[in-house]
Amino acid sequence: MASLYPYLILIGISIILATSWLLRQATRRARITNELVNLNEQLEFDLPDFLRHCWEPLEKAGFMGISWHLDWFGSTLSKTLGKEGEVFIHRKLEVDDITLVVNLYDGKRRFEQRYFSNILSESFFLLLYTDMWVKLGTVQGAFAQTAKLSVFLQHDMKNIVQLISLVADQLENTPQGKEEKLLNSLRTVMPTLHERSDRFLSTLSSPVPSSNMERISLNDAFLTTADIHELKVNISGTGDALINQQSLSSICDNLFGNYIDQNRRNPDSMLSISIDIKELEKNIEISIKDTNGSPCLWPERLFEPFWSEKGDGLGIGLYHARQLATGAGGALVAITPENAPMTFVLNLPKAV
Amino acid sequence: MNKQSDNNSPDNNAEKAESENIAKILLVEDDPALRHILRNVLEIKGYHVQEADSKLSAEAILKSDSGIAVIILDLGLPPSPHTTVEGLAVIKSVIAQLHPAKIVVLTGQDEESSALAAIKEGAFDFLSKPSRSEAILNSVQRAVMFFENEKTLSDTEGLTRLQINARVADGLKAVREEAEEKLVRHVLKDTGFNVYQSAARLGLKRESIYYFLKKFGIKRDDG
Repeated sequence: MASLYPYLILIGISIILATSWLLRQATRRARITNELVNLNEQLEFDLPDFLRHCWEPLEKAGFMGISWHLDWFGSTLSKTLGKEGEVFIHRKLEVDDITLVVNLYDGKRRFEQRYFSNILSESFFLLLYTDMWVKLGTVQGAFAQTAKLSVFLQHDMKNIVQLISLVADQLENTPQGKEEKLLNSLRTVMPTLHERSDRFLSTLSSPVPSSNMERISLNDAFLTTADIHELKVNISGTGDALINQQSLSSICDNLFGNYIDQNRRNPDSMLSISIDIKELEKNIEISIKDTNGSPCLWPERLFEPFWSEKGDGLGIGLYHARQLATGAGGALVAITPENAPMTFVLNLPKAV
Repeated sequence: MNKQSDNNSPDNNAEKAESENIAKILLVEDDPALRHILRNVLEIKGYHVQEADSKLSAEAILKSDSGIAVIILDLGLPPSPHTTVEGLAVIKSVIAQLHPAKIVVLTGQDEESSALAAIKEGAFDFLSKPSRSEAILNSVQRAVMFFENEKTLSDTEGLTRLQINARVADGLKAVREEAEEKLVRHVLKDTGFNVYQSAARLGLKRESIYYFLKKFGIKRDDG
């Protein structure tokens, strides 16, 4: 039995050496895979760019060369890097208007080396395929959003132009004795027109961190916006926030707009909006709730841009409001219990 | 929403002439500012204006007031203000209930397809936003004239105008059935759903009226 010990020790050492060699190879391949993933991310998942820059890590992994032919929305690109050889892994990837044919040249390798190179090449192809889908998703999303935005802006713009046209006609042709009536009418219409124009502009521009911060009474701001929407609101508490006037108007407008849309879909529920304003140490917390409202069915979608429950809205109102609140140094969240109406909680910096 | 205007008394002859424009107009528009200014344009011309901001409020007004002569209708109404769904539904509802009001569409929706759809459903006129107030008033005036002429014909000669959209390929039976349905609905509405009187007016037996009620699924609440 003792005579077997040297052999057993030799076998053990061999196993340890083989395992550590395999482990080193696996670690090396994992590092290269990671390098490819990082490179792809740095190049913002741009497929042609990634193809141009991927050879360096692949060469480190021991591949002999790569050749690819890309049909990129009708434009074709081809390139060969390294050396071509007889042994290669071939892959054709197609997603809508993008087609990619890749040959990854490999030398004659032993079993375990071929295994590692297969794992790496599959990861590489998966990255290429992901880039194709990312591009397609971006393109399709951009088209859909532009079309949606265009419909919405056109509707608002036509209403604004129609209003201006009618006001101009009225100013030109007001019969004698009706001037006072026209003036009263303009007094009613102009704040709404102003609010409409602001909303139009804020839809066009991306929300930016607020400038021109000023002390604003939240009670006044909520009441003014409620009047424009012909909404009745119950406000408890008081507080002044430090925020840009336009940002606050837009936040109020979008929050109320959300309630109005819900109410229009479900006209049987009467809106009963309560607003609770609390002064905290540095912030002001405003809780807004429709006490007659229904539970929110899509809590995860509330702030998702370009998503609307019935597909009939632009879907950027709450997203926009949240961006503006964050830009002003505050926050906007929604508390959405399963069996009770949701509450929006808006935090804004307190004016001192 | 249901607001009624107060007519100011005219100060001079021109205004007296305008004040004779006592036709009732229903303004269906979801933009409060535009609704307000349009109301002003119409009221200055002496029209009696009521407002609605949605299909439901428009239907409620039409149900309670059969004297509305013209409906100025925006096709983009909540909850889908960016499509023509609700506006076209208002036209369908008005036509289905045989309300005599003439519909003038004033909308910012895609012109060609909306105009076609609106006219197909039975709109009297189509104006795209932005339109000058003169164009709107001209259209309203024409619509009022048609409304009044039809009313006169109905009062004096008992004539009723029915609108039927027919495809030649569907043959005479489809047209006859649609005409029958509209006529029966109209008479039932006129008689306050009195089957006996409706049968007498149409020269039919009461059983025939019951047959039509079943055939066309007509219920008392429909009109």
